Amino acid sequence: MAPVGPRSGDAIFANVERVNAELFTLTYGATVRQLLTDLEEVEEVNKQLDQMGYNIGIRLIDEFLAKSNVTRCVDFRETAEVIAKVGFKMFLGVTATVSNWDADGTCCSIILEDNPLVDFVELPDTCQGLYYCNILSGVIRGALEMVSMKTEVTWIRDVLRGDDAYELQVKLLKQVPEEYPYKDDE
Amino acid sequence: MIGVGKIKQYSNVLDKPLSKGKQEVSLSAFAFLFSELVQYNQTQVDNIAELERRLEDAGYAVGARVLELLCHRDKGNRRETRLLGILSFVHSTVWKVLFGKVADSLEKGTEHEDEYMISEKELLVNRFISIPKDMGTFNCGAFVAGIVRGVLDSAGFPAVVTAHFVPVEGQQRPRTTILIKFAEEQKYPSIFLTSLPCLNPPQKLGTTEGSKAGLILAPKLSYLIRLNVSQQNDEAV
Repeated sequence: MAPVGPRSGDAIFANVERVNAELFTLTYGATVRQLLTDLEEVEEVNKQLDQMGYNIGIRLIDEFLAKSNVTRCVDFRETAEVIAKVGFKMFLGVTATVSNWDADGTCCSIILEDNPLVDFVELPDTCQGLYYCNILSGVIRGALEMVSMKTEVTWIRDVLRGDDAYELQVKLLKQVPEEYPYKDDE
Repeated sequence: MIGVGKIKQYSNVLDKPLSKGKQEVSLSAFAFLFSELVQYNQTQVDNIAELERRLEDAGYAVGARVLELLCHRDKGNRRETRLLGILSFVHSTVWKVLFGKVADSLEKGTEHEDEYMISEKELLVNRFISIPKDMGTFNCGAFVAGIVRGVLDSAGFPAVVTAHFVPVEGQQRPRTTILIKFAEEQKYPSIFLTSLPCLNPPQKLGTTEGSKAGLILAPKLSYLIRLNVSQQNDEAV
């Protein structure tokens, strides 16, 4: 039987080097503030945050695979569970839950109970259109793209905008077939 | 629905109790974020000096908030009002909270009276950074320099703070020294501000009422006190 990957990231998180979440939170805040000053348009800031997240995601997946020991996921359902239970825990120290599956199992919601990005944050009236945590959606999109899954990630709920939780909708657009064999030895 | 009811709703961010500051995220998460911050700023500038200035600005915003946060949480609504006090506050308290350790050293400059240096063998932000040859003396420690400047400036000690690589014998990687040069008037401070009056008993901080009053009133008060000081100075002249 194939080894089963971990179902929770607790052990991995305990073993990686960690930093104070406040440094992380405040640095992220400084980044967003800089973007708002530079780009002026809230829409542009959302785009830039998503792009930054994407850049992170395509690099982060390497570390994730190297440290987490997860095996290939059989379907998208398992992928979503691994992101929520192992991925979020391993990097941000929080766990998320997966729910609201659609009938064909290609679209679900990842719900964050705790979000270290938003401590001390309140959106002023001028920034109501801002998806403050948009970097997260970029990270998920980037990371999944590196494992052959094209996805679309959108915010459904955001506490900063007056909702009761953080909810990210992850929609699987298509699975890019991998090309075998790899021609490593040429 | 899952997740509902677990997050307590606050109509105002100031109603939230101050966190204890024990929460952690992985170092990689921070390193990824920081690298994006640097890369983004690289696209916005033409030269190294400008890049360092922008990183410093980002750090400044962090420093100003760290000071406020720590004064309320760790120091019972008081802040340091003496030069050496605030320097050791940066070197030990701030460093410990942000980087998990006290800074390697805090020294006074030998050539100039008003210069101080905080050195760190391996600065957290420089851990995963290697500087390309063509970028010369660029040091991502500018971000930390900004944090230090933010703390000092907000505490009433304006200073010019810069980050430099200093080669260490027998070590492959240089250490980073944060050079603090205080503005002229700090050498002979005429008036020592007393700490902010304690508006709320410290133990009340963290309760809804305490944190709200503390966070809202304190900045205004410090502003008032500063105004008074400049008036007094005028009279004295």
